[in-house]
Amino acid sequence: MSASPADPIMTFFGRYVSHEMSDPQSGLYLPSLIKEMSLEPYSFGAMNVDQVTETDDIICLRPDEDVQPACNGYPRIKLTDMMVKGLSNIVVYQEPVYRDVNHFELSFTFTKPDQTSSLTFYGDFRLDQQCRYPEGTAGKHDFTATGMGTFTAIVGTAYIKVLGEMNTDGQKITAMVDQIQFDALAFIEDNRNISISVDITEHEDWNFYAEQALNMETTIGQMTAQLSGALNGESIRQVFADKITKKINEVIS
Amino acid sequence: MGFLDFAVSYLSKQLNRPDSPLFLPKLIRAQHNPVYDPWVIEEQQLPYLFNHLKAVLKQATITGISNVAIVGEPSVEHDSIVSAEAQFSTALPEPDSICITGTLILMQDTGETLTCDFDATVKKALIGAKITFTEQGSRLQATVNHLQLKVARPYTASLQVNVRVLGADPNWNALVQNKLNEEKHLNILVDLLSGKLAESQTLQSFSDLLTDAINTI
Repeated sequence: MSASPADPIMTFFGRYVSHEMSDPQSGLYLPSLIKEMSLEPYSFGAMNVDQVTETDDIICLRPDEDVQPACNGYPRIKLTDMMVKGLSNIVVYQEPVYRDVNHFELSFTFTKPDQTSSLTFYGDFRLDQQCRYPEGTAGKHDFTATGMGTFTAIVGTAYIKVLGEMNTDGQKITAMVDQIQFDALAFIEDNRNISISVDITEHEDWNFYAEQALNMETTIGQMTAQLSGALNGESIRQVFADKITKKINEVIS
Repeated sequence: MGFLDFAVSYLSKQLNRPDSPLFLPKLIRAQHNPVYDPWVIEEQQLPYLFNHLKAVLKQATITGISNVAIVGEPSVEHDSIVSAEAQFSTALPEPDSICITGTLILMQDTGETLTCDFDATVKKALIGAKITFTEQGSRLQATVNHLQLKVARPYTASLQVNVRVLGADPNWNALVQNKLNEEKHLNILVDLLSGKLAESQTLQSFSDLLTDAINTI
């Protein structure tokens, strides 16, 4: 953190912008802005789950056979068409911080008045499990058991931090957004902040095991990092910066 | 030539003569309730200074109002109405401008404020006056009907505003100052001065000044 004091003028105009973000009448009202920016819902791609350390032989089960195959290693899990819904439930979390002559830091969280989940992730799920028969089982070959379906992740508490700058040439103000960070791991203690459920078509009895594999902290971390990276994309930062720039120059006109 | 023509012509010469007891700067400085030089305005709203902000000028002190001289010959209509024009900052060498100093406070609806040390300098301002003279027994009664401030346009050439925000970066300070020096914002400051001069209290005070002056002749 920089030790130099905030600039009083930058702070004054910066606070104007922050208040506008919470004002439903303003063109800078964040929930409207998020819809306008096509972030509701928002697609953040696909991912192979990096670290799966849970599985169960039920996935390889062949009920009509005498000799049962078993899992060979852990399954490959792929999530595709990952979407996030609820970014428009954004609200200002903490008073913005203004530093030195041009840096600001905004923080937001997500809430919904009716107490239902403010933020959810969802998309397509695919699991491929290598299955192997016991050694010496005649006439049987290894195979891959595949389950496909959908996943839904209920997010408890999440935060967005926006780091940016405001500069002036003495005639106008230019706002820049340097970084957008999504964080759903902060302040989580024992309770799981994100809970992922899976609905595998035709293999409902796998769901429980797939969920165990998926609800690892590393997987949740991977998922949120992926969203954070997507939101931090150049075009989103630029659109957001342009909106702030436009609004702040209106106030000094 | 009627008596009023004579009296007004004589008075306007006296008002411009530094050695006359009727020297206008001297008369203006002798006014009180209020004092016009310096003219202190406790608080003045400038509601349209910025579209999205409220602006208040506090503890504004206007100096230089007394440094004024009649320009040309006043004209008399119908033996009672006199039109005169006077120019600020010409009767005396100093000051050569009207200056407003004070504290400008910019305010958001949420209550956030920005406090600026403020000064504005106005050069080459004229004032047009319409005065009606009536006989009240043995005295002439002057009634100033109208005082109109005239500042040459563009105001960007006649006015200069300076602001200083404590602790501000020079570029941010320059931004606020440059914005205030735009024509539309200067317009509001000219309107402020015009409005103060057009107040009934001001007209009354200058009516009294002229009544006293013309009756000494």
